[in-house]
Amino acid sequence: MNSAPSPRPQTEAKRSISLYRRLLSWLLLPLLALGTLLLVQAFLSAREAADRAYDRLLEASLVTIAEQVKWQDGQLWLDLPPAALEMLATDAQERVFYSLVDADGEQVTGNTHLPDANRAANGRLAPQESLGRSGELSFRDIAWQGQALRLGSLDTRLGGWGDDPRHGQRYSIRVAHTREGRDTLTRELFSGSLVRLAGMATLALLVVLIGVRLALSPLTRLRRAIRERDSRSLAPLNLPLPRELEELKHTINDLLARMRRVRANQERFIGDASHQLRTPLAGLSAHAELALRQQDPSAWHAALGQMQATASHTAHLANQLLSLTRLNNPEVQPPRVPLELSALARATVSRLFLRCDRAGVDLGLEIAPDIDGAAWTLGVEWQLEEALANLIDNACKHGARTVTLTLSRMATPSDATFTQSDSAALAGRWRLSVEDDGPGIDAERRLLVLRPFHRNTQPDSHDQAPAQQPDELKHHEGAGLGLAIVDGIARHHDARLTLSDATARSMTQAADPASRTDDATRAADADDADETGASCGLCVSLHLAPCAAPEVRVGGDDESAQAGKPAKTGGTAC
Amino acid sequence: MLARRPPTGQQHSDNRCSDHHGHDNHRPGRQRSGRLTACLVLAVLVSPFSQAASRAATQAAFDPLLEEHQSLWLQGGQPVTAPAPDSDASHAADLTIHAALDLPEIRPLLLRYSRQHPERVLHYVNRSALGLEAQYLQAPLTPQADLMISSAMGLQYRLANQGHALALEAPNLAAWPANSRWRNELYAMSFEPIVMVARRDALKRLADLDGLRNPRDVLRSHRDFWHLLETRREQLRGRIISYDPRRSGSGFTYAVSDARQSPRYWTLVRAMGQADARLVSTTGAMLEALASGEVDIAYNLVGPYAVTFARAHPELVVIVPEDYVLIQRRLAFVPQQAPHPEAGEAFLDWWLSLEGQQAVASDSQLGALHPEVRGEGSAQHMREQLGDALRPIEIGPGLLATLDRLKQASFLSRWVLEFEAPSATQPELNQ
Repeated sequence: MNSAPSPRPQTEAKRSISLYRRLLSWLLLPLLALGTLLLVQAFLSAREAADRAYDRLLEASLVTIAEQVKWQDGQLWLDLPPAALEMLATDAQERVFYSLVDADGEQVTGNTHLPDANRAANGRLAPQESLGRSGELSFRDIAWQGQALRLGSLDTRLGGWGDDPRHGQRYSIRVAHTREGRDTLTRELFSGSLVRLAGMATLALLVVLIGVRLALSPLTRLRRAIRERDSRSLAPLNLPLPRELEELKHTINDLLARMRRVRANQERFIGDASHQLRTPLAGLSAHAELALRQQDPSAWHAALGQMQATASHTAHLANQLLSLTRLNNPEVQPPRVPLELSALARATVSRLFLRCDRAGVDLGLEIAPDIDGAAWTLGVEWQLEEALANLIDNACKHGARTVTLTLSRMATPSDATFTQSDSAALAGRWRLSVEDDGPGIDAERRLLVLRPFHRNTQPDSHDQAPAQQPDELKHHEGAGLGLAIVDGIARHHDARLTLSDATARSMTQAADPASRTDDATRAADADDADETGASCGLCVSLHLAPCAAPEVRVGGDDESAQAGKPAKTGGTAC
Repeated sequence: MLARRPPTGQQHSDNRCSDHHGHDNHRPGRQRSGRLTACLVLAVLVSPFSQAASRAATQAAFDPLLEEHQSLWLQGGQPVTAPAPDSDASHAADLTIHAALDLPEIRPLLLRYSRQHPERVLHYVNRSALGLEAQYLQAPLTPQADLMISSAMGLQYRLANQGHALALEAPNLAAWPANSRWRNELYAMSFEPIVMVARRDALKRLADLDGLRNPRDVLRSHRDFWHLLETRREQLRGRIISYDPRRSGSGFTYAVSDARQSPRYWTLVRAMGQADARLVSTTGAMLEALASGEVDIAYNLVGPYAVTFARAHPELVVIVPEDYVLIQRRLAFVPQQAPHPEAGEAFLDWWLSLEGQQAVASDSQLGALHPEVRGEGSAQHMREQLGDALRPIEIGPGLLATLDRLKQASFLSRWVLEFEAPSATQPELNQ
């Protein structure tokens, strides 16, 4: 069994994205983006650091030159210190430029005409805090005669004091050099951080790879555990898992538990069914055996009569089993079509009337006049008929003398009588109920009777019945499938099934005040009715959702008017 | 006062042996192109005799007025006829070298290179350093030279600093010592001490006055020179000769370098002024004055020229100062827009190769810089002899400072002030 399912997950894994890859990409793509960001930042800061370091050289050179600027021979004078230029050359043997500009912007001396760093059109400006004495310092990258230069300029004024106007004259010193040294330093700094980043990236990659693999290993364990199970086993999974997978395990275990219950139910059903079928067959066999020992043809006749009764009972049981199986098969459900309930109720009553009459049961039909012929709903006709027949049959079998089929409409929520929200959910629905005056069922047992093969043989409910006539009881008693079938039909119709005490014949619209389940699909909950003490009879009601009448039938409204006159059609005594 | 004069008089002549470029400096209006044409015409006229002339030039006096002494066409190691004057010289030659380096010093090396590369027509032109730069800057985008060689280190450095030099990749250039080049653009080709030259008879006379047995002991260092000027001022009055830093760029460079070596340089200048030293603008002029007996001692001469000249004039003795000796290095670069940059680079590569440097050491006085070349004529040899006394002029932006207009004016005003200072001891003689 292990070999069969294994190829499938593999091919599916190829088609869909693996969890491993998804995790990896979600972890590694942000890492990649972060790494790129860090690299850009590292490069920028390396360049900034190199610029800062070399700008100090420019600054030192500017200050050294500024110290040599004086007034001589009626003009600005500069005794250019060679060291000021040599310090600019650095180890990279940069090209060096300098210029001294007076207040009018005229070049006093220099080896080229350098622009003002504050006003140069190109390049980015790196303003510096002014040095109290030295004046304004600024640095800027410029493109100058086809070369990339770093330009530093110092705007300051001549020192000295007195009345001489030349004192305090403004001048500007500009020095520039090529960027080779800076670029080299930038490269060195950057390659250093590149190595660190590469190391970190490798480490992160390894950690992510290993981490993801480790984190996903419980999933592999789970998969392996599921795959290695016996295919018939429904035992719960039992292996330690992380919290996220623990939930999955619980869900699977819940599913398994449900499947176990379903299988147990099926097995019990099959067991009950075979038991039910075996008993009459054994009876048949016994009757035949008994008859064969006798020579009297009249005795054969009596035995045959009994055998015929047993056979028909068995056939009825088999029919019921069949319909229950059909109803419980969720895949084969006939479509629901619009149908009229009053007509259906009439047809059912007239079909069953003779049988009830023969059994001495008074079968009656009550239809509220205002809804006669207009009670449309979506349903399957044979199923609803079957449900009603079962209910009436059930009532007859359980010793009812009077059975009344009632069709009415639940009161709308505007009526003050219904305050519970649950009742509000039922408001406006058709109510098709079968009421009898039989022994009834205890409120706490009402749920149980919906299960197949449940026999209502409790002493408190049927305390007088066994004493009455064991044979008759046995004859009357059904196989316990009737209510289960009705329940299945109700479920298929999204109808609500309620069981309650039959109060009075006249109170047809007695709702079930105790019903409390949340939705209309499943009802079987006419429990804890408060008047269980006065239990007398049983009222089983089907609450069906109304639907619009089909177009063709809208015109024939008079039919309902003509049928509306008698509330009770079949009130004759059995 | 000279000190108050604007520094327009400052000229960059080079240190050639002749003084005819000194005349040039006195006549700034002269047309350079006209002179070039004259050079070519002269070259055509004298070309049949050029070989004889060149042979003679190695022995006989170098006459700078003859154009064949300023320009040389070579192919396969033989001088050839110069092309017609109207043809473009830069296209006629496969390799054009413009240099401020006298032909007698470089001729054997050019011949050797030409023999090794017979397919190339080589054209060598000697110019003054200033003329060289001016000619280049006239049309920097269409230079005629494939290689520029000049002793004016500052001017060469300034051109390279402005980005006029091509970055070179040849193997010997890449291996060249880092302190003998700038980036991979500017290369030092020679190692030339700045020396003093004296007449033997004058030294003997001075030695006798001091009672010294060896005349050489009289003058061995800068300090000795200053001492002589202080103690034998009357004997030496008017018999000292040196560069005029106002008129000669080389002289100015040496003066600045001297001043950077020691502040006592200024007392030397003052002493020279009090001894009524003669000031000229070329090494050649100084040597001629020495040879003719007009002066006894010359200060700050270009070593190779002096040594070559002294070989022909045994009455002269070349003195390499022992306390410190300035070293000038001729710098070469290939112009950005050179017509045959690969030819210029190849020549420079050959010059700086071991083979080329051995030739430099044996065939010239220029000094071989190659670290593996030893013995006579190499920088290594000079280092072994003089040790710490060597003071090479640094190839660096400090050279730019010496070219600064205001810096020159400041320096020269100080120099003139010291040179013309009245004598404290003999004020009456100071006129």
